[in-house]
Amino acid sequence: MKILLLYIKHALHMMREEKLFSGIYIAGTALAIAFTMVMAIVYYVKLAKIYPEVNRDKMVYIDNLCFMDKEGRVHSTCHFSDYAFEKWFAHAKNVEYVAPIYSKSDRISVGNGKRNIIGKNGKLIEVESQVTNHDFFNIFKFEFLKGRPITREDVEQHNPVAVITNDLAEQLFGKDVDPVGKMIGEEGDEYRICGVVKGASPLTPVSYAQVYVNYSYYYQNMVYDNESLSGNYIGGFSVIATVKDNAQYQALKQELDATAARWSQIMEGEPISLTHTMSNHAQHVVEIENELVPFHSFTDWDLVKPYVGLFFILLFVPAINLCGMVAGRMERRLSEMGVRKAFGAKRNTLLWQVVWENMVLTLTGGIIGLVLSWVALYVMRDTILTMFFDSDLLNDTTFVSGEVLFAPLLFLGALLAMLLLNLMAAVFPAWLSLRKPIVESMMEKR
Amino acid sequence: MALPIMGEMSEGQRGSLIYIMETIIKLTEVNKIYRTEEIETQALENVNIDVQKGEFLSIMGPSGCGKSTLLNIMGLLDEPTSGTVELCGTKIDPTLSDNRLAEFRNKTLGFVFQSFHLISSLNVLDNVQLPLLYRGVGYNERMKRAKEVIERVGLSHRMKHTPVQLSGGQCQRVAIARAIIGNPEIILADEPTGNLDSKMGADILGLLKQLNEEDGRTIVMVTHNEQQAQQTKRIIKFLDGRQIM
Ligand SMILES: Nc1ncnc2c1ncn2[C@@H]1O[C@H](COP(=O)(O)OP(=O)(O)OP(=O)(O)O)[C@@H](O)[C@H]1O
Ligand SMILES: [Mg+2]
Repeated sequence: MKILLLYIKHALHMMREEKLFSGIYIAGTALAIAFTMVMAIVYYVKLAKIYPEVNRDKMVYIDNLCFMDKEGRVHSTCHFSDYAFEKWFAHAKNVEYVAPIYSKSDRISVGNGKRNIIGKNGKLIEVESQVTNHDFFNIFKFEFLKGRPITREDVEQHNPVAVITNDLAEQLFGKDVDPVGKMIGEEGDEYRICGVVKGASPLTPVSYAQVYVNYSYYYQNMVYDNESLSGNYIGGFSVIATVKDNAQYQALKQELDATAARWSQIMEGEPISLTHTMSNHAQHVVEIENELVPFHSFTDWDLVKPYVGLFFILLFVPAINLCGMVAGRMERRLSEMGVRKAFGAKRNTLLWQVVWENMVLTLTGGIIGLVLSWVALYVMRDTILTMFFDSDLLNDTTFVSGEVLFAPLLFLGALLAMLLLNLMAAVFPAWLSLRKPIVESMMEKR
Repeated sequence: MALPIMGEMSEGQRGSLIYIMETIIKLTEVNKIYRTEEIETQALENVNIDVQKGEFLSIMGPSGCGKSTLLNIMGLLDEPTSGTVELCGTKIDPTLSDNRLAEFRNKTLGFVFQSFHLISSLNVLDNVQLPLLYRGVGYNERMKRAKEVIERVGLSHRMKHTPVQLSGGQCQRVAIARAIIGNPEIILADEPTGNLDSKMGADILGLLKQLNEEDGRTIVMVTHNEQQAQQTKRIIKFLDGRQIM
């Protein structure tokens, strides 16, 4: 314990002596860690189970209906109509829950999710809306503050019901009025509020909206007259589902492949696929981010590749630079260590000193980096988040929870990676040199 | 080796004919061969040297004849390719642990190098107390001893300076202070005046002589300066890795 304190004291002494080196080293480490942490936090938000998307580990996304050519390649894709959802997915056996949602890409590019409702003062306001079924509220665990979700009966009976967020309810009706039972929307497109939920954040874009309306009401007047026309199946929906486990995931895939085979015949023999873009949550995030189109099959490596590059740039490039610095400094220090040895320093003493110097420096840098990442997220939250999330969805309700801020495992991981690299850069040459005769260390070029 | 013969004795030795013989450094059949990819250099060839306690020995010879190599082997800074080294009656075995060797260097040996080898980031005080630091001596005692030896080499007014702020002669004084702070039996000096002008060189030699005569320390010094060598008690000469006299 005493010797430990001594090493740390030595290290602090060294930091004072070599201000420039220590400064650059600490700053470099801090920045690398800060960037890594910001990224970690961003990906935590994208990937971890956060409200209300707490079933992310069980989720299945089916974005596209794919039309295949004779060689089994995709030649075009589209989203599903409500009719297609009803025919192919609503009664699928191998799911826990399954729901249609406005396809994310359509929502952004076509403005599909926007809906006008009449505000408090009679003016129309534009809100973010989702059109879905009862299972949506089983897949996403919204907290109901008042009322109830859309139910199976609502869907079967085409009831004009909607669930709205607490924020919107307050905006429309104030704090004191119970919104359940009230009507919202504009003429010809009116819904009765059946429930009020604590809203999702735009950082969870699949579940995010301000109004959730019953899709079976919305589409009840659509006419699908000719089963053989592929046009019947083309619409604006994606499909989300949850499965119990991987076995069910595989079973679902088989089931959908069988469905597709059956319908391929009905649809004038044109082969279709329902599973070509079937993905789990992580895959889905990566696909959307990297605009991986379903026209080619991508491997797991394709999914991971961009992040390897990203982390490489954020963490390893600075780390390797610092390694170079550490190694360069060690080279200068080797002769000094030779001198110390000539006057009676033990090999292990010197080696541990190098180790502790690096530990203290890296740790200092790491902690500063962690704090820096918090400050950055706090001060530049919007800038950072708009870089990684759909900016037109962001608003003041955007939040990052406390556990997200800390992400301790990632912090430790990043820190450990830095530490290992730097120790290697410092300790390895020191160890090598200290094994050589002292004259050789002393003659190492300065 | 027997008693030094009168004819071999240098100026300084004649005054004190009677002293008790005790071999403090003993090299037996020492060879040192440097192997690089292209060539092999035999830096030392069958060297046998006994240094008596209290001696002031000069080693001379042309450049590249192996003087530094010899001194480094004596000082446990380098290992011989073959042959044995004994210091203070202890045979230095290659199997000796690093800790034992470190202790030996720390307690028995003090070095002075031509290029000083001070630690540039440390000031005079910290440089000088280095051997005591690695001996585990407490802070106050270290400070006290360091101030004493710095005073002895006449640098009390430069204690807080770093090496770059000192002249060559002053640096060498610091190095000498560092070499003697731990009271080692043996001081090994490799061209201690090689980088200094003659006036400063004479100063440094004076200091070493004083350490030898007053404190009875054994000194082995490599030098190119015939005049300085003449002031020591014994001279041995080297050529191409062999002792020629
Ligand atoms: N690390 C080494 N690798 C290879 N050869 C070496 C090494 N060190 C010394 N030598 C060779 O060994 C021989 C003796 O070198 P040494 O340094 O002992 O000479 P020296 O007598 O001290 O010379 P100088 O008076 O110039 O200091 C030289 O030929 C030298 O080139
Ligand atoms: Mg030499």
